[in-house]
Formats: sequence, structure tokens, C-alpha cells
Amino acid sequence: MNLFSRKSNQDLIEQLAKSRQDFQFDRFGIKNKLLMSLENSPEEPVAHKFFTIRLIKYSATFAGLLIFLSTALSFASTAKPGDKLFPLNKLEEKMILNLPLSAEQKADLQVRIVSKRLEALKAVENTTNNVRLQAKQLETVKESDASIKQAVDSVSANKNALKGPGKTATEQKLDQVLNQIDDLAQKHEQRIQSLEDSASDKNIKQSLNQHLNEIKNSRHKAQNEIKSQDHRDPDHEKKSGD
Amino acid sequence: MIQEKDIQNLVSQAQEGDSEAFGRIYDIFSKQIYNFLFGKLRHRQTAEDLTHTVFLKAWTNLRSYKPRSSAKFSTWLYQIANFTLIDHWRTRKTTAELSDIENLARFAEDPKLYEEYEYLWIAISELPLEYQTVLDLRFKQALSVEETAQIMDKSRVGIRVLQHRALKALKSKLKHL
Repeated sequence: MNLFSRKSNQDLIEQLAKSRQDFQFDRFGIKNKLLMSLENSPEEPVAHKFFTIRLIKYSATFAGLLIFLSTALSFASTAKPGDKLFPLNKLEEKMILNLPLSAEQKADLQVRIVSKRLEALKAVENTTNNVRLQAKQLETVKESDASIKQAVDSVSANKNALKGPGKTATEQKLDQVLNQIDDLAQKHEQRIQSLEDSASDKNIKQSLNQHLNEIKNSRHKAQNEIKSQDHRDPDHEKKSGD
Repeated sequence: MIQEKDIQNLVSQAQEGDSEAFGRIYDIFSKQIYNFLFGKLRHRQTAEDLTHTVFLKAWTNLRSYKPRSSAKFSTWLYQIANFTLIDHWRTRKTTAELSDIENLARFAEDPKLYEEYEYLWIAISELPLEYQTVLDLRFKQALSVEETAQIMDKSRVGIRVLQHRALKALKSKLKHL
């Protein structure tokens, strides 16, 4: 029987240490050859070579990751609420909104997002007979409500940051955007209302109704925001006085 | 036994261009490096040529060497030796011939010791190069996991995994001898 079938790693390690062997070689011959070579030896970039290999390895990994991310994001950009890639789409939107852009550019982006959600809402109409699609429909409505709320909150916050006497061009632009959001929100409301009317399930109806109320609140907030600025506007006061 | 501090002094002198100091560095480490190379190459002439190449590379790149508390100078030399060996295998044969292995006892400084553990040398020679290297550095040269990781350009966890696999593979080879 072979002894090694029962030997533990520790035994083997001890054997390896004991088997350490020195071998004969032409030590002085190599040294002489080496000393002669030292005088005329060109620079050989050993360290640089290791560094380059490592750099290439990391660059390739990074490039691969970048390609994977950009491919995933490009696929995700057309994903709608309820789709598997939709969270990536939202992440992309969030990343873009976090870029150092002007208040006007960010407001335009918010309008685009609300418009995209409206398109998604249109796409899930007439799907009430299928349980899976009903879930997608509810998810779309939820995202629709969330996008309007986020857009109104964000544009209002940016507008409030500009508070001062009179109305700047930026504030006027943001007012226009709030109006646009309000119009789009009204369209969302109509679509969701028609979904609620056609829904037979009590729970779905209730859920849709909740989202409708939320959208109404957001619209109300947007309208108040536009009015509150109008009151601060000296021209508006002058016009009111007239 | 020579201290690391003394070696670093020799290195500093060699970095200034003192070839005599470098000659002393060669005297200190050439045996270790040769044993490391010969154990895998099993060919005296090739091992001698590569030993010369390793020290020449060390000399030409000595200015880029920076002493670190976590790594000895020998770690840097082993690293060069390991990469030189890998480069050699890339361009030359990847397996040792049986005749070379049988002749190993001829070059052993203690042939009796070699014969006692010949079964181990033969089994190791049949393992992949990475397994041979990790077993050599960790258990024959008695280097730490961290030093071995630096030499083989791997993480510490990577070395532990490689060591475990190498021991397992060696056990398996020994069972079939």
C-alpha cells in the first residue's frame, strides 16, 4: 500500500522541506561572465515590463467593463417599467440628472422623462385581461406618478433657489417647464382614469385611484408654484393693480 | 547569516554603480536562485544561462528597485527569476525529459539526500509550473505567503488556493508512483 494515500499535508510539507537540495554549478564561471557583462549592459526594463503587463491587464478589464456597461445601458434605454432592464434605464436617468447641468437643462430632461413615461403608459393600454401584464400596467402607472412628482419637486426646488425680486429669464423658462409638466400630467391623468374605468378588479381600481390622486397633488403643486412666482413678479402686481 | 540591513547597504552601493558590491550580492544569492531555476529546468547549461540572465537583469534594473519593509531584496530577485523562467518556457519546451531527471543526482551536492527524496522530485517535475513554483518557494525556500505572492504576482488568497491545489496534485501523483 502506498504510504502517501494516508499522509497529511503537514507530512508532505515536512518532506518537501527535507528534500531541499543544493546543486553544483559553475558559480565562478557565471560570476566572471556576469562581471564582464556589467560594463556594457544595456537597460532592460524588467520592472516596466511587469508594470506594462499589469497596465494592459487592467486597461483590458476596464475597457471590457465599459463595453458591457454601454451595451447594457443602450439596451436599457428603450426598456419600459416592468421590464427587467428598466432599473438600469432609471439608473442611467439618475446619472444624467446628477451631472453638473444648468437648472434649465435639468428641467428639460425631467420633461423628457415624463414624456417617456407617458409613451410607456400608452403601450400598456388594453392589457387588463392578462395577470402578468396587469402587474406591468400597475408598475407603469406607479412610474408615471413618480416621474411627475420628481419633475415638479426638482424644478420647484431649482426655481426656489433663484428667489429674488423680479423674474429672471431662468425662472420664466422654469415656469414654462412647469406648465409643460402640468399639461403632460393631465394626459397621464386621462390615461390612468381610462384604465381605472376599464379595470374590473377592486384592488387595482383602488391602486390606480391612489396614483391619480398623487398626480393631482403634483399638478396642484406645479400650478401653485407658477402662481406664487407671479405674485412676486412686480409686473404681475402692476398688472393686478391696473 | 547575513542581515537584510547589510544586503541593503550592498544594494545601495551597487545602485551607485559599484560592480564589486553587486558581485558580493551575486555571491550571497546565486546558489538560491540557481537551485530555484535548476529544480524546474533540470538542465545544467540552461539553468546556468538563466542564472546569468537573472543577475544581469537585476543589475540593469537596480535603480528602479526601492527597498520596502514588507519585502526583502531576495524577493525582488526571485521575482525576476520567476518571470525569466516563464519567458523561457514560453519559447522553449514545456516538459522535462526523463533523461534530464535521471541525471539530477549527478549534480546534487548531497547525492544520498537526493536519492532519498528522488520520488518527490520526480512527482513534482510532473506538476504544472505554477504548482512547482509555489511548492518550491513556500516549502523548500521557506518563504512567507506574502513574499511568494509578490514573486508570483498574485494575491495572498491566490497563493493559499494555489498551494492547496499544488499539495493535492502532488499527493495524487505520489499515490500513482
